[in-house]
Amino acid sequence: MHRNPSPTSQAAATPPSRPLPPPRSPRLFRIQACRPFKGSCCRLRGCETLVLDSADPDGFRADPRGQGGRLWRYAEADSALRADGFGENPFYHCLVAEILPASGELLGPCVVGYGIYYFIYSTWKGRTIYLEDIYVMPEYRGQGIGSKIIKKVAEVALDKGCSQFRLAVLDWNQRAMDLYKALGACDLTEAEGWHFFRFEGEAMRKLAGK
Amino acid sequence: MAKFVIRPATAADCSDILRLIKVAESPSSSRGVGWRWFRFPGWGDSRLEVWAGVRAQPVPLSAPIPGPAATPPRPPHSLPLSWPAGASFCFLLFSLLCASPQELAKYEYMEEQVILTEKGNSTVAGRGTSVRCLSPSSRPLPSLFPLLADLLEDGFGEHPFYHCLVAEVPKEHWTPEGHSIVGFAMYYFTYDPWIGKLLYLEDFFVMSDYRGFGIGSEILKNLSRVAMKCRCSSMHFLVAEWNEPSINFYKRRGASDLSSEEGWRLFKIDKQYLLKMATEE
Repeated sequence: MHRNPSPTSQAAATPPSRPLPPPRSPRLFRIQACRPFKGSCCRLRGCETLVLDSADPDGFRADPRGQGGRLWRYAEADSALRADGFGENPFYHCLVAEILPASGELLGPCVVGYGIYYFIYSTWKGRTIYLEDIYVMPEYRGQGIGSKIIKKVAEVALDKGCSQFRLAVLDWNQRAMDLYKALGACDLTEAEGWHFFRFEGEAMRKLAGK
Repeated sequence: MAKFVIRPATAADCSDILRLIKVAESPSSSRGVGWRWFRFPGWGDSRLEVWAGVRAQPVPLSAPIPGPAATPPRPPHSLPLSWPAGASFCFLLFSLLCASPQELAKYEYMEEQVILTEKGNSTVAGRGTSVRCLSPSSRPLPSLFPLLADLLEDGFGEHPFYHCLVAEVPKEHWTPEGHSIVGFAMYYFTYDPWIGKLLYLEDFFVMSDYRGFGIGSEILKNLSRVAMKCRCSSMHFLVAEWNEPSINFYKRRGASDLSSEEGWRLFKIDKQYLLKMATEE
């Protein structure tokens, strides 16, 4: 749960280093499982809209989401993502949304969005799927890609015997909340008063007695 | 009480974990929101099984939680339920099986819109009353609590979905019913692509008679050590906003409320909507 800043505080994104293919017909996209081939983790970040920058103390630039994390400070960021998602014991699973090339075009499929999910457990509901992160490049929004990613995750959930699907969303993200509610989601924070809490860093070390 | 042990749960502890889950969610527990579940076993060879649950609304901490003695029991036959043919005997069976006036008192909370169908559908009605009917021909529906078999497979099978720590007391401090496990914490690992692995605390409960002895703190300490050992950068969990004792307990130990501070909201999508999404074009 990294915090994306609200749009009013977001810095303007710098243009990507190579031109993106123009948004295509809304039908020509597919959602498929992310495969761990070379460069897949960078592709995961959305076609060069998020890039490592050694000149930046936070280790990233051109991130329209405006949020860096410690992961990006290390050169091993890509290999950590790869090991954590595609190793022997994956901590997450990922679907990517790819725009397919029009006939006659030489460019291959281009990743324009992704969904990261994993399995959790509820003492009330048993197996549950959790959508950790979903992102569609701004130029490709409004075409149903986000909905399709969520629907695919829902299919995975049913296939794996999950009885619930959970996710977290920031309170300023009205567009996302509207999308989720249109798909049948319920805001448990509003309806039942659930709050997310966290022990982090120093607090956790103190708890551990270290 | 001086001695207790916090240790990883084994498959043999599952029945105790389920017992504590149910205790934790009962209306009489200090959590305030609870389900009381009672199961009516089948009659003869029909294998008709009914679960009935009652959920109390969260009450402000200043108000006393009403105990079962406060509400007079309503006779089972006055329940306005529509039953499949041949199932009216279940009312009688229920009343025969009721172990105590406490169970009967729960009828007071059952709402009028509860409907049973032969195919095993359930509806949630009124103030959170849910009844599930399992017919012999249909696959059993999941209970709102995990079944022991599910808990065993999901936690101790080939692919564990969760891990558990339990708090065990020596014989001289066992519960009156003879249980040595008096607290548990259920956790699993989650992932944030920006910061890596996290430990998520799903459930954490110590029986009310065993609080104030440092068991909760020791469980949290063990969890933090597990988190650090597994290179998790933080520990996340949910707390209901009206649960002041828990909020104070966690905040005293350095936890931050991400919903208040950063605006995070938890959303859920229930199974019927998952089915709808998966089947529509």
